[in-house]
Amino acid sequence: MRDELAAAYGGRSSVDVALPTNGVGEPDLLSDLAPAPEELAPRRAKFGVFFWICIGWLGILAFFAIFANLLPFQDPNNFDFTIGRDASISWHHLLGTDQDGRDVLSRLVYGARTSLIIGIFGTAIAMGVGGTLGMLSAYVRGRFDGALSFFMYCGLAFPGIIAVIAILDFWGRTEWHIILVLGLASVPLIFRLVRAATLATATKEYITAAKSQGATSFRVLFHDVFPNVAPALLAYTIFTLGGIIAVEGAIAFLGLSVTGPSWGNMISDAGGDVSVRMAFILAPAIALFLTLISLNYVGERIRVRYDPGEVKL
Amino acid sequence: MTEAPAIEDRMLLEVTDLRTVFSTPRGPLFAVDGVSLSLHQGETLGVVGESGSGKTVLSRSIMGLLPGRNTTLEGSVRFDGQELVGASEATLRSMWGPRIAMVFQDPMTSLNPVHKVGRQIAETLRLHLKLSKKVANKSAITLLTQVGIPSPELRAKAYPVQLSGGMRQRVMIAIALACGPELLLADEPTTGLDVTIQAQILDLLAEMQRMRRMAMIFVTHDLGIVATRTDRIIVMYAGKVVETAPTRRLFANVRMPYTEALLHSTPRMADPSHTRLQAIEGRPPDLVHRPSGCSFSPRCPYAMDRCREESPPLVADPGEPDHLYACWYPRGVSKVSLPAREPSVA
Repeated sequence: MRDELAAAYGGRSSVDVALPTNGVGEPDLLSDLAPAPEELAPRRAKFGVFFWICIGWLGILAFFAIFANLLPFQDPNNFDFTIGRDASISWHHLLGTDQDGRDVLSRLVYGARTSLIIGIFGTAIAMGVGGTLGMLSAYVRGRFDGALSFFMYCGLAFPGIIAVIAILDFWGRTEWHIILVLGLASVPLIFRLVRAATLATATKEYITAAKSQGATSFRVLFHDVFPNVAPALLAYTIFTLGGIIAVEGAIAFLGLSVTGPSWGNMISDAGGDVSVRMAFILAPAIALFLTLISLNYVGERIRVRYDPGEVKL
Repeated sequence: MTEAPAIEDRMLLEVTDLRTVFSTPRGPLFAVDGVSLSLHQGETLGVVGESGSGKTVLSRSIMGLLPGRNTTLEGSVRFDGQELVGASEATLRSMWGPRIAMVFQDPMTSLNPVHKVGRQIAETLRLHLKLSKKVANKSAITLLTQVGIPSPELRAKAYPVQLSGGMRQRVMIAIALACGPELLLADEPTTGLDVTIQAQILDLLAEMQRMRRMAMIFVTHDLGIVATRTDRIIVMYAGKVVETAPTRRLFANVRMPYTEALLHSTPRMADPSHTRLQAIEGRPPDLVHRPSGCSFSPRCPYAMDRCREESPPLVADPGEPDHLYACWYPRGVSKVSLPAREPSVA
């Protein structure tokens, strides 16, 4: 019986046929039973309450930013003649009006929209370009890696904010220019990070094993390497988002960002007269502060939880 | 079964004068240096040697699975009549899996931690055999059953972290066997496992090999493991074959002092209690600056002047053409023919 089976399955067609003679029935094969999967689920750091508070704040922010024009906010650019400039808090203007008589709350909400759009698209560019190049560079190695790394290190050495100011001054300050410039300015950092993570992964035995099973380089890269790099990447995506929002605030304060409502613009507009206009300096500043601290905290918790370096494999 | 002997005789793998050289900052490193071997269908070859003897590099060289950079591969590897050295990446890839497969040393690191094990098996099937997702998943469960994993449907959904070392190695074997390879390269498949699990994995490999009439190259540092499970043994030292013979013959008539030293450095149940284990003095040679003469001569208790000056060729034992060794003063050959053999140590 066994010999016939051997003849039948001896060739290369042994895949889709069950072999009844072997396996489960043999007690000596069963002694290395591991506990059921659920008992051995990897222990991971908990996110904690503060994490969810941060997520909550970011959720509220995103909600208002997305639905700003559907909600009953006033036009953020219109002078309210009934109240006038520098009005204090009232029922009609929950956070008052600024020096140009515009509703502060409304500007805050539309400013969030600006910050998030620039942050998210800028991060997408940084991740797309930096991540792809970083993975390729680490996987291909050789001269390609050397040249690209050199180029990126030059980019890292360049004083970013000065480059951003120069380019935006030259190009004009549309939203898309700002997104492109801030995104590309973050590329070298992401490149370096992804390259390091890929290098660490690409030398693992399971990558060699995947190759030995006949997988193409492309497949190995995206099916085997990428999922192992992605958790670390997720955390740094969030850090980058925070970074770009912060830089946008900074260049807006310098008067180099978009002309519409933006947190940086609001702080800048309120300008030198802190004593009179405390509220509308504080409002965008607090919003920016809460957003950045939330992003950084969320990113850090995710890094701790999913970074393979901290999880026992 | 009537034509089985004819199938047995088919030559599957012929390696001739294989050389693998890594270029290092210190100079060329000769990891595999002129190894020749052959393997028939269904046969098992044991490759034995200590760490750094080139046995792992040999198995990866045969497969063609070496980093392209800084590596030169010379000689010939003919698999079923097809030359693999210098073959295109695409050709090799099409053979890896369906024709040649490898089981790796450490099951803790050779499975991808982010994919479920069932999926890892199914992916190989889908890639080479172009099975649909559904059929591949079913086959993956069948394979898990074959390699002795209980409740395979449940395990297929587990991640590698959730399985024990022995189970992972079984999964690894299932992946290697998935596409029905004709040659399985097992690179120290039991080194990372407990002794009891080792025996189970070895039995499993033997069973799978027998049922599939698969040829196997079993790389290990443990002579005890290959003693009962191989047809032929190759003993490697410093990238070279120093002795090769059919397994029984080798254990009956050890010729090369290195093989003898390896044997003596293995603990045996039959030894009386407190028998001192004889470790091999010294360390394997630097493969960049290799010693002149026989590469084992600096550690060999029987080494003579000739050993340190001339490198011994791989020659056949008189009257035993199957038993080859590279030694000027082989053990157990009568003193009449080789007068200057007697060692200086007692």
